[in-house]
Amino acid sequence: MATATEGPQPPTYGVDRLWRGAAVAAVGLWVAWLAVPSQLLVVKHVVLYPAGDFFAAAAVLVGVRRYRPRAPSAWLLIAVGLVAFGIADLVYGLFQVVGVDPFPSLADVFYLAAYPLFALGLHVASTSRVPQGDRGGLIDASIITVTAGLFAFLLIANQYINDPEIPLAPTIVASAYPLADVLVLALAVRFLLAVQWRTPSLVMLALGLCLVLSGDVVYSVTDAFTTSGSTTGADALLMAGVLVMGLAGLHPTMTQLTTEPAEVRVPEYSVHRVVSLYLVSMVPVAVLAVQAVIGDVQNAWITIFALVLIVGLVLARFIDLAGQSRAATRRGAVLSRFTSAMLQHSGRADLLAVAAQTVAELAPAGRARVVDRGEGGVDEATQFAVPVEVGGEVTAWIVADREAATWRGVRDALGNVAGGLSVALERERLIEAQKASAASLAAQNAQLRELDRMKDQLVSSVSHELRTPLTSLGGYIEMMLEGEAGELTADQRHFAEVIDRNCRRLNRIIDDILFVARVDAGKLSLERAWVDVPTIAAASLETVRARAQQNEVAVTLTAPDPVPQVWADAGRLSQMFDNLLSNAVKFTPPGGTVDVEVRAEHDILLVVVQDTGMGIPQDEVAHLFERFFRTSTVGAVAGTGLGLSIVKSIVEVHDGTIAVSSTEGVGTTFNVQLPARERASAGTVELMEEHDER
Amino acid sequence: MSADDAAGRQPVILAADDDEDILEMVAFRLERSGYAVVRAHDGAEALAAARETLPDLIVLDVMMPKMDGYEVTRALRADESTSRIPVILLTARVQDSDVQKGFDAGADDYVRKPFSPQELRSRVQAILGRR
Repeated sequence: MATATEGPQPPTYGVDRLWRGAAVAAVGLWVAWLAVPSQLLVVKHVVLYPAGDFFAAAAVLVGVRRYRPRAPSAWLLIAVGLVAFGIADLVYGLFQVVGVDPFPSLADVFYLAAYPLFALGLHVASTSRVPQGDRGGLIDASIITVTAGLFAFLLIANQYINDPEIPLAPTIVASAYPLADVLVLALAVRFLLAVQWRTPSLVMLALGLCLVLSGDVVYSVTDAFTTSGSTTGADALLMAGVLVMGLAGLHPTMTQLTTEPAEVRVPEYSVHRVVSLYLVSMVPVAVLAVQAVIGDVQNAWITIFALVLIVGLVLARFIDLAGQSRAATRRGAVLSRFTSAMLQHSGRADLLAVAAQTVAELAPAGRARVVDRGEGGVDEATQFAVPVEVGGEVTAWIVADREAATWRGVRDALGNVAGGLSVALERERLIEAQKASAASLAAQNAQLRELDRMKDQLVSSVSHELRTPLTSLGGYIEMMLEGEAGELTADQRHFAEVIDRNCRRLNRIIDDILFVARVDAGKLSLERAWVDVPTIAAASLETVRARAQQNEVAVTLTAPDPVPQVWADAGRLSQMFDNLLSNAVKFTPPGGTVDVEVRAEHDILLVVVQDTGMGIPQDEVAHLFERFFRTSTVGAVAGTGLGLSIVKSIVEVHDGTIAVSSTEGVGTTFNVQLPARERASAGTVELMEEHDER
Repeated sequence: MSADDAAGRQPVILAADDDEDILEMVAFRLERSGYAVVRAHDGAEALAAARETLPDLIVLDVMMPKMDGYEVTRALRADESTSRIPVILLTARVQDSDVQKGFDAGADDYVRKPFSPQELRSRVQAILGRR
């Protein structure tokens, strides 16, 4: 089932055979050491016990070699510390074999050397993981350490100091142990407060250190409170701790010790933590209280000193929190200014400049900046980078160095700036796109208008050109009919009259087309005056009367009451009546009637033209006012199909409305409504000087 | 039918149109009505003929090559010797602004194409009769 894989395998967590082998060996070593009876001094104290230390140191060194962590010195310092333990244990074992127990001895030198090495390793790890600015974490660690130091002093070191039988040198060395423990504890706490607890290696390292420190405590307590106690328990704890530390160094996740986490997590304000710190700071008070209750107040001054120290630290912590809160408020203000600036500015360069200024305010001294797409991008100093995306593409980055990126508040603010910039640039992009499409629409529009203008011009010039030959045609025919070219026979006269009639018809058609062209071009000008609509209707009626009589159609005008004058173009109104009446007469069969009624209703002048004609099919009524539309019932009746559209145009330029109702075989009624405004005072009726002659 | 004036002299009318048929029609109608007609086929020719013959009335087509009717009218009005000769414009245009332009140039009357020869004669008679 083996699959062929090529190239170096990345370390796979959890299934590392080397580590499992080492773990089994470590457990074996520890069990072997426990199992070996105390009589086998050489095996137990010279071989097995130091072997645990050297095994752990070797495991760490192999781990460093294998996984190549960033800042390897952290692990290397721990390894050297383990070696120091090994040497110390070896020396101590040899003393035991020889049967002497000097104190202090060479062994103590190595033992005590190991603690600063561990502490230094943890310090390196701390600074690698959380570069700067973790003041709160440092203070928290200090508070815990001071408390632990107080206990270490009261419970352990105090015994040596107060024992007058012990000479000075052993007192100092013996006191150095708990102090070294406190040192390691301090740095371990500081480190652990800042790490994420997920990785096995870090858990093991913490566990190992815990075991070692516990071993030391047990050892010291045993030593101090029992006269001839066995130190086996303490030794077992110490050996287990050392082995676990070694296994931590060999585990694939050991690189996490010094790797900056993807998400830098700096402990910031939390109620939980403040409450804990408050309780811890109460410990010295509690100690004093307990001592007072049992009536044995010892070293009150050192407890009070610790209390003062802790109170100072707690104060520092609150000042730090207040500072953070102030900084957060300031960031809020900066962001709020940024938001309004984004709305006020436009143009990519301007927006980027505003963002750059905001970023500089959030993280001064160039610790964060805006990197435009074109610029070099993200360099080595970059710890944190947020993309600024526009239309799904990264157009810029907001980057921050380690210090600026340490603070979640700053990171969040930079993220907000990136988001705001994104939105503003996106808005910019949309506006540009909209402008472009508007410009293209405008261009198309202009083109269409130009085409329309050309069409109008064509219609207009063609019509004009037609008029010149029609002038000759009509003129000569007229002169011929007048007998200027000699007397005409009856047939000649009849034919000339046909030509004359058709010339007039052609002229009317051209007039209609020109009228429509003028309406389209928006060039239909009105010569308005106060006009009396019944008068115009009567005149129009007279012009169609001859034709009506010919068709045996009765035409009547009903204008019962005086109506207000309207502000209108008399020529156009008469054109309107001409069209409506000639239509009505044309489509009314002999014996029918055409009635025109003019009356006023409130401020509306109503014109009704009613005929008893052939009517219009219902489905065609809607199309009646369309140009060139001719109803299916017109049959052989001549016309251009422009007449009613012209009527509608005239009504509409006078701000009026026109409606039609028709019943096939019964007749058609046109309803025109014209606004009859109140006539201006002292106005006089201006008669139209001229109007289109038809 | 005679249009002879008080002195028994036949009034002279200058007719100008680039369309030969219309020009002939105008001339025929006016000659039949007793006027002497001088013909011109474009604006420049009309202006020259007017200065030379000093007619009693001028009928000018608006749309003519070389000089249009408006230009000729303005030129006539600008010249002392011709400034008082009545001018009737023949226009195919229908825009009111065109009519206004004719009066502004100094025309006395206008006739819209298509026109009836009778109508033209009436206008000519009306103007000459006034004098």
